[in-house]
Amino acid sequence: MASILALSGKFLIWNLTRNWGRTVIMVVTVCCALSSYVLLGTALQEMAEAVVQSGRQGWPFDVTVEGYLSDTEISQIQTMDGVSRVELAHSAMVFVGPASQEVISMETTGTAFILEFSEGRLPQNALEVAIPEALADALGLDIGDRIRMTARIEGSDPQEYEVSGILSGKAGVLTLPVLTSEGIARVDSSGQPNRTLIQLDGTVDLDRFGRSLSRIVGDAQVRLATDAYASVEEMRSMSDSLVIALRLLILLITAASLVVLFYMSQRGGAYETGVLRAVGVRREWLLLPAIGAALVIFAIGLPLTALLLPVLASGLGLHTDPVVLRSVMTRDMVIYVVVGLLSTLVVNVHFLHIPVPRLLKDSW
Amino acid sequence: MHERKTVLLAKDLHKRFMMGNSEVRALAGVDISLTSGELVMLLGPSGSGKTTLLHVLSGLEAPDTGSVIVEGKDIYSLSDSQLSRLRSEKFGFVFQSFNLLAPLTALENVEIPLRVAGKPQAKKRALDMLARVGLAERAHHKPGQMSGGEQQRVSIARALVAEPSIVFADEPTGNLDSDTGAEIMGLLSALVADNNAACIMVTHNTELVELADRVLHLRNGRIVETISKA
Repeated sequence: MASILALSGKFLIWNLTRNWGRTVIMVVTVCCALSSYVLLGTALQEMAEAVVQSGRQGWPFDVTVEGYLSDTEISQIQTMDGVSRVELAHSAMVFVGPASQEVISMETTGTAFILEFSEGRLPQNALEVAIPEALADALGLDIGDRIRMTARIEGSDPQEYEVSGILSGKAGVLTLPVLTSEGIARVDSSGQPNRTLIQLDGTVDLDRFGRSLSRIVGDAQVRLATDAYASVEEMRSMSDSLVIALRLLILLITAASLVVLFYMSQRGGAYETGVLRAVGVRREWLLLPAIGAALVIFAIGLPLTALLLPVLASGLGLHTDPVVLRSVMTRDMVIYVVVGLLSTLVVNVHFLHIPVPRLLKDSW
Repeated sequence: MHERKTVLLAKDLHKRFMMGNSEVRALAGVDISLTSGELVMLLGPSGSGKTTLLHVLSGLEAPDTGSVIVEGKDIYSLSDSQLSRLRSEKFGFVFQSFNLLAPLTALENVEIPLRVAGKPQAKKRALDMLARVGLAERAHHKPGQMSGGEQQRVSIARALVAEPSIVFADEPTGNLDSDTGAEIMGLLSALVADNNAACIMVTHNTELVELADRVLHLRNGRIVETISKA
């Protein structure tokens, strides 16, 4: 067996080095196939996420915890199954004229809220406010106009704000007035976030999640967006099915390209295979150099793909984080190597069952 | 004096091929036996079934019907690994195009059957065999660095190194000039006789029949004439 392994090693090296052009093409094909699988898969996943988000309308969170939470409680929430995002916000109820209105203040960088403006911008100091289009229309307000808000506490004085921006009335855009943290402190002196906003990935049961959450947050009130979440779950299920089907399709196409490539490679070695079969080398022994060659091709192609992926992604205009891309690649790589090795196996098993005279056709 | 015994017995071999839409009868009821130490030549026009018969006898291509008995067993009743083992231990092959493996040296090419059969001292035995065919000093050359005659000598060394009981040769001189061809034939027949192996050879060269113990003429897949040396 040792001498057969040594012989297989010689053929493996010879297979890879006798035609450098073909070996390079095989490595490039592995890179391209895996890159397209990872990039298209990631893009589809992101698109599916966007579709799911669009089902949430103006409030992109499924669960709201009302009350002050400690850092430990927030960390525990972040590690719960099904949680895709946790944001902290400060909310207060105020009177705008005679009407009661909720206002909000949050970290605006990287928020899940859609903050699209038809005019103006976010507030930048304690004296500014951005208001939704519906409120601006109702009160006849424009950029630069002033609006008075009064805390819903008896004896509170009204506070005046200048309208810095008008949030667009498009579907999905936030529908509450937005203040800075200093601005909201003028109508609610508690001065710290009192809302923990939780977005789920659509894969967990909302009621069960609510019960688990209640155990963590104790007395704080947990509000569940039941109707919106039902629509999210439905969207998630549909988009997941679509993504799985498309990813499978990409996998099949790229696997087919690998099968063709490995078949061409084997055809190039038909003569040697024929000679070895004729002198009594068993089929399974001839699989060794073929599988070895495939492993070497993958061993070169996969790290190369990891290096090239962020460049390709950026070239194609995908804004996915390179770290995310590499983590997706690492996950998909296993599937890909298994598919590649199965392709090699299928090709070789077929190839090794070709009668020896056909393999030696030119020489016999 | 070597003992003479039947090493291969083939009965009622039939083989058909489809060529396009028409069926070709390559073998139409061939019976043949091979005895150790005998050199049998197959002659016949192109398409008479010589090469197909060689393939079928050597276990490379199964017949449609009929049997090939070696050591008391029909070789086509064996599993693939048993048949591979039989080929590596009992059969030797000499091809018209030499069929040496380009990445290996002459020595490594000759070693293959010994390694495949798991026989000991493969390197020493391969070197001895190369010396017997006069190529000891070319042992570390690759096929591409050798002449056609030298390559065919390596091929003969590879066919005989594992001391097979049957050597199958398909036009071993077909790609050589007449002088080299005669030299190779002399070498092959001498080594086969030394090893007491049976050799069955396909040839178009009627000058070679002098060396044969038996000559079989094939036509349309049948043996139509048998000439045995007195």
